[in-house]
Formats: sequence, C-alpha cells, structure tokens
Amino acid sequence: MKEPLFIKLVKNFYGISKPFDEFAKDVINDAGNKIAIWLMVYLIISAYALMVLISWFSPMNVVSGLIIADTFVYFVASAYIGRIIRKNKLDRYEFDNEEERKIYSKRFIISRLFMSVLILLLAMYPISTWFRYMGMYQSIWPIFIGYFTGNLVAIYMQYCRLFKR
Amino acid sequence: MENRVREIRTKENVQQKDLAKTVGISRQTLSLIEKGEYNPSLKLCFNIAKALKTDLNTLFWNEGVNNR
Repeated sequence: MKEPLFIKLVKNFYGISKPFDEFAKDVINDAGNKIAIWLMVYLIISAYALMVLISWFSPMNVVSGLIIADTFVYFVASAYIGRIIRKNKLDRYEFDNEEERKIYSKRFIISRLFMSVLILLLAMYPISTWFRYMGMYQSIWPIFIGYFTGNLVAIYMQYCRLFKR
Repeated sequence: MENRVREIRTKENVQQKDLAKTVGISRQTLSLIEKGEYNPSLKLCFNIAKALKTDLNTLFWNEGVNNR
C-alpha cells in the first residue's frame, strides 16, 4: 500500500525506517503529546517572561536570549524524541540479506546528507545575518563548518549503529 | 493479552516477515505482539487471524478470563 505524503513526512521527520504501523503511531503520539504540552508551557511562560524582561533590559538582549532559549528547547525536544525512537527501535532497518543492507544503507546516507545540507542552507542566511548584526562575523564560518562536521560524525555513528554488524 | 500467534504461525509455516508484510506491520511489532508486549487493535487482531486462517478466539484471549 502506498504511503500518504503526510506519513512519509512524519517518518522522515522522526527518522522512522519501518512501516508506520499502529505501534509506531502509538509511540509517536505519546511522545508528541508530551512534547506538545511542554512546548505550550514553555511558549506561554516565555511570552510572559518576555513582557517583564523587555521592560527591564535592552530589547535586543532579550530577543537574543529568546533565540538562544528557543534553539536550546528545540534541541532538547529533538534529543527526547530521538531517545524515544531509539528506545523503541523504530529507526532500525529490517533487512534479511547483504543486498538489502546495502540498499538501505545507501538510502540512509543519501537522505541524511540531503537533510543536513538542506538545513544548513536554510539556516545559513538567518544565522549569518544575526551574527553580523551582533558583531560576531568571524564566528560564522567556524559555526557552519562545526555544524556540518558534527552532522557528518552523527551520520557516521548512526550508520555504524544501524548497519555495521 | 495472551495469544497464540507464534504457535499458529509456526504451525501454518508462515515466516514472521511474510505475516508482517501481509498485515502491513513491521517485524518488530509482530514480535512484540507474539511476546505479549504490545496489545494490537481489534482491526489488527482480525487481520492477523485472517492471515493465519483462524479466528480471534483461538488467537487472543485475556489472562484470567475463562473462555477456553
């Protein structure tokens, strides 16, 4: 049966490699609901905190702090969902022979590299604009190179975990 | 929920991957069902029973319920 586009998107977003069956749905729904509750709490608290902070400090510093806090929360949420996916082995590929393993590993590397480059390209302009505005122009390239190298290492580690016997 | 999925699947000489593919789930999910670590939906129970050419009462039952 052909998967709808939304299911493909969900699977790709969470890094699920198996059929999106009811077990996978249960796991994702449970984790997604927890994240949604925490994100809503964070959003409302940060909105109220901003109202107070913006009257105490420079708006520029407050907005910068918010950007950093949002990024941090995003990484925490990603780490949490990643842990749930790994714990329930939803990222494991089910292959029977060497040929299937090669096909899946190739597909895995291409999709992960594609996503890394895409995210890097999407983030390049806003991050470099912000850094330039903050007067930290020299830090832009080391950050991008560091991000990409870190991603390559993460992809390789995932590859080893999923495909090396 | 107790079940006889593995027992009947072996008797019917059906491989785990084939049954999983037939009912549209992953091998991992089927394995969890067989071990009793995941309770499938009624629809999935029906599909598994149909794929194994048996009925729900033979495949699944609740622990402590005297229906066998």
